[in-house]
Amino acid sequence: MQHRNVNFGLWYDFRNPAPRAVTFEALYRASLEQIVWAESLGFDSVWLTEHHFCDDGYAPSPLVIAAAIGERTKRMRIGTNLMLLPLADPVRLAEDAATLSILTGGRFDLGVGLGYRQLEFDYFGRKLAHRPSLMEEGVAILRQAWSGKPVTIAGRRYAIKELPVTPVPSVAPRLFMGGMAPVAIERAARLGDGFLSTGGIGHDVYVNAMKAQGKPRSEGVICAGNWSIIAADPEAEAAKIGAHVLYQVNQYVAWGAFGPPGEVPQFADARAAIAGGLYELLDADAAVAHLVKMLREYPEIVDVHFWAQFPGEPVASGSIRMEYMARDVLPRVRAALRDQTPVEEA
Amino acid sequence: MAYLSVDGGRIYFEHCPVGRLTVVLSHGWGMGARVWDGTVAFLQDAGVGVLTYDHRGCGASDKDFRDVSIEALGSDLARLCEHLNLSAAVLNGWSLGGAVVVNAAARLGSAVAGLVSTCGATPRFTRCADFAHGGAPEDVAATVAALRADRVNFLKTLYFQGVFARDVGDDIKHWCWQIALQTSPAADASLGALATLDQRALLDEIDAPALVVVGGRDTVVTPEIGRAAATQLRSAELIEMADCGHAPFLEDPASYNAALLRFIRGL
Repeated sequence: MQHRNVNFGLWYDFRNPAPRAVTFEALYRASLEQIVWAESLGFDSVWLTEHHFCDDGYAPSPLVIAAAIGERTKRMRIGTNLMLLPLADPVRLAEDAATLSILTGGRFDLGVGLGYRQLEFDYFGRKLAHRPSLMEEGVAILRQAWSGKPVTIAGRRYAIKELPVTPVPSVAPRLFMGGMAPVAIERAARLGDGFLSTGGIGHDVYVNAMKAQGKPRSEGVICAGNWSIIAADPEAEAAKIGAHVLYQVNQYVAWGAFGPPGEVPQFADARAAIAGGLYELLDADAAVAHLVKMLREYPEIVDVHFWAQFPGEPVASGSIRMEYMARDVLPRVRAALRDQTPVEEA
Repeated sequence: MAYLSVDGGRIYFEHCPVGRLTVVLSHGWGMGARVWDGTVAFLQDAGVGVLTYDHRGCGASDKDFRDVSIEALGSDLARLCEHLNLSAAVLNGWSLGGAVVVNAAARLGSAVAGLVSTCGATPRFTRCADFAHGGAPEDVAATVAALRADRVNFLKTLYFQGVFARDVGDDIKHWCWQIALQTSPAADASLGALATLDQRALLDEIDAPALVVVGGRDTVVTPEIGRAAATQLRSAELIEMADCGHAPFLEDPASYNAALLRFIRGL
């Protein structure tokens, strides 16, 4: 714990819902510039995500974006939280991820998850019911491809014999696995280099699963996708961006992220979404207390990342929160982790 | 009490929904929903949702279906789950019902949260060139012929001498015999279908976590068949109930129920 190094990062979905205030070109350009600036502010990582066929353009091609980020940044780690492995050709994904590792000097981490939207599985010709085997065999293919040995698998979904997959990167991407259901978290503990959590869900399940598999706690790795909204005046911030937050969570609910579509109710308004969802409204003092407590409770956490902006929120609006975090929150959290000083509960 | 209309006839079912998961119990050949009553009571007391039903030709379901194939029975079960909007079904089949739930699970896809085979006749009931377990296919035809020649005494022998390895007492045997006597001769063809049924390709379609329970002294569906199913399923836990015969849920209900509940709680 004395030399504990936690990365703090930003999470991007590149959504641009109607009525669009900017073009996709302008959104992508502004986001890339924001990421470069965030690196100069002291943010350590940037995380990308994947969905397809969304009216708001939710990023379908995170690896292309990752390459652009890699060329513009020097130090930041670049990861996906997360890509939908059951929809991918795992050999093609292994090639792209290897290429990113080479391009970025080993700064790329590949995070994968199961997915859940019927529309996506229908188009890509995969069955939702096959997700566990597509995931487990896909992980095996990725690992073999990056090892430099020919890929061979005789599975339920893939049959590959002695296929030389190149280029072989000097640094294999770390392979993280996300999920919220206990069975998915158990799989992350069994097969992944770490667990991608969402909104703090499942940290305890992951720790218990590692223990059940006989792995020491020091081998545990969690990258925490954090849904906190950290601002100097949290109530005013909620009023300002409430509509974007409500849109975000209700779309995930409608797609089935939190249970079968139709079985999980929509949030009626922004206040209900913030009160009952994953979000926490925090000022600097509360954020420092929240983060230090979580990081001390779970030494497995090596990265905490926050939504850069919410769907439809102007990039400049997200930048205000980023600057506040970089100035008033992150240095205090890093200092507390360094010297173990007690932090008052918020 | 309710019925679902399928294929020109009615399927009888009993549904007690509680919580996220619903355990669906599919009985063996020529039996009925009643045979699960002890399991149902246990699951209800444990706070688990339960669905039981009678196959075509059995119990309170209509008797005069033309098609009583495993595919038809699997389709009925899938339609019943869809009718009741079960988004997280745990399908549990006994004996021939094991083949029925495998067929239904492949149809239902991601709505299946778990699969249980209780001495299930899957992936095959009979041996063939590349499957070494079970009886010969022609033995099934001989069994059906003996049944149709004298069904009352055939069924009495089945339940008094064939099914149980542990001593369950004459009352349980008599009760099973009486349930079996409710079955129409039209359902005999379901048993006949097991001669050639091969579900090995279907097992590859099922990714849901599975529990396979075998009876170490089961002479109807030998334990080797269940072990083969457990090996082929993506993720299966195998429970060997060494001193049980073909009906562990009646022979050692306490052990059976505990294993079933532990599996359900992990889903």
